[in-house]
Amino acid sequence: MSGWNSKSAASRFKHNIFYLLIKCGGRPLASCLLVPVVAFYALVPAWRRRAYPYIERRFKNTRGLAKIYHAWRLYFCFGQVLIDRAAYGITGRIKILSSAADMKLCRDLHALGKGLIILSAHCGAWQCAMSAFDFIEEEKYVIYRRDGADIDKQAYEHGKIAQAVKFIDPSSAGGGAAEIMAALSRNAVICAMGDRRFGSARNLAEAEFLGGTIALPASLYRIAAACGAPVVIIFFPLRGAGRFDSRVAGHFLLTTKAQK
Amino acid sequence: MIPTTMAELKEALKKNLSLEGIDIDALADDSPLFEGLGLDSLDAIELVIILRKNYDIVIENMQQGREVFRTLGSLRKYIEENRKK
Repeated sequence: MSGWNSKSAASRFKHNIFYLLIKCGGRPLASCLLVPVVAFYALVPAWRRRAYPYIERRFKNTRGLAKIYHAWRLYFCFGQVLIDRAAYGITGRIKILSSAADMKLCRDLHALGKGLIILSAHCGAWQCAMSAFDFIEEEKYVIYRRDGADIDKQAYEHGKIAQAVKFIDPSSAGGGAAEIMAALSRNAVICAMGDRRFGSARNLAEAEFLGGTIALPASLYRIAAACGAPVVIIFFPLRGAGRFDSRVAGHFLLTTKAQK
Repeated sequence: MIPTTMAELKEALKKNLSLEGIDIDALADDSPLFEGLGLDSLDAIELVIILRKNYDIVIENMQQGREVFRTLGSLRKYIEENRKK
């Protein structure tokens, strides 16, 4: 993860403009400002290039205006999610569409008493989901690295809703392993992004993805096996302003044979 | 309190950690665990898992872990005082 940090591109003042618009006119007003802001980031080459690693794999042979459009679309969707997260924090309203079967599955897995690990990825409305995921009444932790320079607010920091989750920093000593295992021993729910790497290069496993090879963090699977904690994979596709799905893509229980 | 010998602890570490080129039997009780064995953050995870699986000990956080994992001797003492199996 060399060179990566979670610092926002815009200043605190610019974030506050969006928060003010949400307070005054809700999501629609903030989305109006989002259009030119996203256009700026999509048109300036230095900012647009940041989307190329994704665009060039997802939309092969894309050139010229199509590439700018895909960058605009990617940034706009991400901006919508951030507006949704802020709107949830400011108004307390959000709509999560979960199927009864998926909710039952998660509750059944949690009822095993070994904790529950929710794996997701940096796609869809994960920023909102991590704040609003509420169909298991239990302690919840998100493995989340927050730089001191971060200025965008988590939903609960807007003051309208209670802090539903606590954070475990994966860049802390031991990758947060002690904290994760302690939480699982209390039957807590751990939410983690399965696609972000931290710590030692030994903590990585290679996988094929979008025509290339990526390195994925493996230590969480090691912890799941050691604790007997079930793992459920959930994605959060956007379904419109302030609405998203929580869709279970799979679940598994690692055996001790798979530990190393 | 369940007596825990240094030999038992070293055996558990040998079995679960990657210690190529390190003669753990030659290390003294006050040898620094991480520097002495050349361990990294992934090994820290393994140590937490060893305590959980072998001795039913939960390390709450790495601030506590740092003290417990300071030396081989501190680790043995902590296990002896806190193990449940």
